[in-house]
Amino acid sequence: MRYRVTHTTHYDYTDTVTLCHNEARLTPSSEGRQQCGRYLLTVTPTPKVVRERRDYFGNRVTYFGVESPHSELIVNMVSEVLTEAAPTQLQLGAERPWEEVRDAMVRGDEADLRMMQHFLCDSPLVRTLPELAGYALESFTPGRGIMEAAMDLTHRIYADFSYDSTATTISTPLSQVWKERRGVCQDFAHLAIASLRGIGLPAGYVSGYLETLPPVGAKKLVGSDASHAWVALYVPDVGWLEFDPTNDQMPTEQYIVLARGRDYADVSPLNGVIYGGGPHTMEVSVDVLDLDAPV
Amino acid sequence: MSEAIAGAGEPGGLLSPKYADDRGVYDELWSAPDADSKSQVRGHWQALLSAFQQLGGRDLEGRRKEARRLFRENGVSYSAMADGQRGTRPWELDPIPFLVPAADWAKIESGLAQRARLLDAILKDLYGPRHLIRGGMVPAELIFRHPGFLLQADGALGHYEVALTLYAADVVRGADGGFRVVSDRAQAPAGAGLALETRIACSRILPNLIRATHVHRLASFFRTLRNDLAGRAPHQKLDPRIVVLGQGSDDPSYFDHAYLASYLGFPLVEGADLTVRESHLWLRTIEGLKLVDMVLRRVPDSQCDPLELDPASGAGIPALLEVARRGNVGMVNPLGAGILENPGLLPFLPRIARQFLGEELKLESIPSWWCGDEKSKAYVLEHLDGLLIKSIEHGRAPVWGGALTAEELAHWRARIEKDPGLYVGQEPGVSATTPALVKGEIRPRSAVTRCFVAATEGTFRTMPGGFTRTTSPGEITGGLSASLQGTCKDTWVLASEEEKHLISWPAAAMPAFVVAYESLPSRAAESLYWVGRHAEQAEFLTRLARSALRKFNESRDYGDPADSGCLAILLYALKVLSTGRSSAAPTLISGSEFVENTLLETVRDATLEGSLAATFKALERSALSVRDRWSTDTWRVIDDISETLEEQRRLPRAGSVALEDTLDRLVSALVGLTGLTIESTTHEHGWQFLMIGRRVERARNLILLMQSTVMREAEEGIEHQLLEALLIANESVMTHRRRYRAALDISSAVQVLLLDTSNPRSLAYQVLELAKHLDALPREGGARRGMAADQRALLQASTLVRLADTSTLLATDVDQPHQRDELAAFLAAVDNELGIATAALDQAYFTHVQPTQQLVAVTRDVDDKPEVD
Repeated sequence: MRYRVTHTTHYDYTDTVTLCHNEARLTPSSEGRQQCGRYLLTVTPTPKVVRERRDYFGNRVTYFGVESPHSELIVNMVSEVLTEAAPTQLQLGAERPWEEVRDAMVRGDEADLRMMQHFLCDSPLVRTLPELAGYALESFTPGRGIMEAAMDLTHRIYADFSYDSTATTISTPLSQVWKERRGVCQDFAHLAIASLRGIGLPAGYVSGYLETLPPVGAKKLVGSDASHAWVALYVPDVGWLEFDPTNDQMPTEQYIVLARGRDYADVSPLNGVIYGGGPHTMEVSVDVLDLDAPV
Repeated sequence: MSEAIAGAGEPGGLLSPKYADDRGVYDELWSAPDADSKSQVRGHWQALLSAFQQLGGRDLEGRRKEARRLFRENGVSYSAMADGQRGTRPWELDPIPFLVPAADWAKIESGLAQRARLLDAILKDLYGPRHLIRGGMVPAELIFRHPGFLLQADGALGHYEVALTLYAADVVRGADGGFRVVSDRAQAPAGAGLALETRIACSRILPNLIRATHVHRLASFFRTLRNDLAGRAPHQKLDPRIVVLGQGSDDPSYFDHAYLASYLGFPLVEGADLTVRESHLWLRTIEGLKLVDMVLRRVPDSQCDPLELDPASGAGIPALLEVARRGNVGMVNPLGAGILENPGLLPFLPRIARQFLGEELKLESIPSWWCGDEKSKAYVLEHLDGLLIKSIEHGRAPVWGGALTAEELAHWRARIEKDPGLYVGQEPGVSATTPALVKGEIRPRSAVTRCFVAATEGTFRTMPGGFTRTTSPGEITGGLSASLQGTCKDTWVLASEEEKHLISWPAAAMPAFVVAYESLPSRAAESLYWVGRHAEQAEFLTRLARSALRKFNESRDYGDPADSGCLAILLYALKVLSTGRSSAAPTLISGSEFVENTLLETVRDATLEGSLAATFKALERSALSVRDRWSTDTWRVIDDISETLEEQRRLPRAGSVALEDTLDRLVSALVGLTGLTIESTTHEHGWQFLMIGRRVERARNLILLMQSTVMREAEEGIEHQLLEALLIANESVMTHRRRYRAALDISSAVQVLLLDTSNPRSLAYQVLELAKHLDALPREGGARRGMAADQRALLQASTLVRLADTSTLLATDVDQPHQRDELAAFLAAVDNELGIATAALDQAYFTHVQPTQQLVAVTRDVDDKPEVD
């Protein structure tokens, strides 16, 4: 699929902001089953400094500083991404018993496995809880193939938790999500990560987009898409297997990867520190446009 | 075997009779018992011990007291200040030093140099290729779980030839006599300032001994450090701007930072003094933004940058890490260095030394076991009651297994079993003892010494000395190395025979302060301005209170009604001046008790708005926030004033004699402070702000004083007394007497107090001087821009005072012959111009840092944290 993603964030301040420093993780990577083509980041007012780098996880990060007084800030990213469907056939090794992965991580006898320890440790927003490990073990029964078990866990999260965009915020702790059984994609991804890490499997967070289709016959609304998040499980010799507990499926070619990390804190699309500004409002709009769709 | 120690337990002797019983396996003073169970005083201690014995316990305790006074005066005790209160547990100096013989020092020195080299290599590897993790030399979990490992700093150390520029290690002597490292400090190692201060105090209380003992001096280490830092700064400037980044005067280590900053001659700044623009770091000064080349930080890693690191950090500078990453500012030490403080690294150091340096580790670490390793865990679980339990997470105090009950031990075993990778077991390292002065006797104590190491041309140098802290023998706090309070000792590194002639002690062992800054930070300018204002206000109030008190005594002694009338007006003026606003008209005072209480309150009640005590507290706070700018003498005066007020507060309420004595002492001290700040501060911009504050305050006080006393003509008897009191309160009696002989009336008083341009206490003098100080300030755009608002206002005020004459000012209306409306209008006009000038000054020079906020705040998942012990 060929997509054009437009991601706009608009801040409106009540007081003047004299200086702001920001970090954006809004540029899709070229990796695995996707290629990022042209992209353009536009910031209004024009920043004095813009600089792109790669972070620890290989994501593209853009630092920019706006140094003239302003009362609104608009950050607009347009990128074109080519995606392929994930291989439909099970990759070689993904049917192995999940305990093999766990034990390989414990042995850690290869450099790559050692570096992957990062995805086993607690991270800023995800701490394992005994009850989550227990929850995972219901899917990860002895000897079960890792792919099948992970898909089962994905299915259970989908079934056991209800999607409720009013139930949580960025800072809602996992224990509360677990107790109240509701949340959004970010919470479900964190929940899956904590469950997998709890039984010794390396798991990470993927932020990105998902093309949504309008109801049959209806016209797609501009700005109706949203940022999305799902979970990735590392299997030695295979790589990352991805699961979307919010939609009970493995990512398809309609999924676009933006950034990878241990949890949301590593990949937040836009943060910043402003001087002044007073109370402010923020609006985000995301459009994922299928470039080959008949007009 | 106490009988084996000669001299111990002799009547009147200095050595405690219990020394032999209490000493550790290794003792600094006495050798281990030989075959005949005899102990000898170690060679390097003999001369010193007999010198101490000659002095005797009482004399030594006296010297300790002297050291306590020096510490307090120099502000060491301020380090524990909380909400304006003085610290209750200041450092206590033990006059008996910690001796390190030359041979031992040689081992420590080369051991620490090697260790710094090793840690530098580890730091660069962990934020670069990570061979240590990839190759399995260090368990990945040990690094990834330590909060000091900053993913954000990955790849940001490439600009450093040497990344670990300043490093500290806590060392202890082991049972076998060898020194070992307890812990490594790499982010912002505190204590170097305290080490200097301890040395200075020690050389004051034991001047001859320290010279005779051939002790290595510390000064050259800091001189070299200063030059090395300058040489390491990016941008290759001849004179780079280096700042010491602290966390403000509420930080428990503030004294240490301020002392180090002023010793090195670098300005001490806070996060709000700095800003990032165009990917560079800038200092806000009264001359605008100035480029900063290097930051000697005293702020922990996570608190340095709210954009990329902890969003809640108030002490940091947004985007600092981005500037550092681009190599546009040098950081000492780089952000991310906190990983080196991981206690779990200790067991792996010997292997890494072999791998990275091809050398054996010269200076061992104290035996430590990381429980993430199965065998180590088994050992720790088995020996838990003899080990310190340390967590590799920040902010957790070590737990001493020996102090735990069986139940608690079981609890800890379970915790370690549950998450072994989080814990490190460590031997407590208190098997050696050193002589210490305890209640007039020498007794054995455990000691830990913090040593400082700095990178210098291709190698590392160790400061020949250190900061030694002591505890009771066998007392294992676990917090020993982290605690920055308690008893400390000077560390005397003894010169070898060959080195002895190289050490020269100047007659005065006081190292000079280096205070020379080119651009004054805005916050410092503001603090200095307020020091000037508060000091002047304190002096003015003291003098006025003293005048009122004398008048009170006279009125009581002679019963003259004119005295009481005058007293009422003076008390009213005191109230107006202390609160800064006029209130209801003066009322006749009844009862001497009331007067006495009012005066006492105005002097010593710190909770009363505008009281002398409250004013002084404000002065102290302003002075403290620029502590690095004051000489020891200046600080001593501030301390004296504080003490005087404190003493007065402790006195019973009645007692105007004692109060007058207090006020006399305060006047002298405040005049001394003025003299010191004026005479010993170089006439740079800082001095201008100090003087501006002083002149503004004195001018406004004079205006308020006149407004509250002579706006209405009083009865003749009262008026004469009042004018006399005003002249006395303004130190202008002599001036008046010279000019007018005895003829004192309102006209001559107004001339002397307000219009006489040659009387340094007059209003006119303040205004004209103020105009000069304002002209000396740096101006944006230079002189081409013409006059600034503050200069304009002062020109108006100067014109007003120059044109005024007494006959016009004192002309009265026929309808209201007793009202002095012309004088009132004149005072109001001058006051108005002063108000405009100060507001303009504030706008142009002082910090107006806007509050920062996060655009997207990710708070940490606090609820899910495991319980805190």
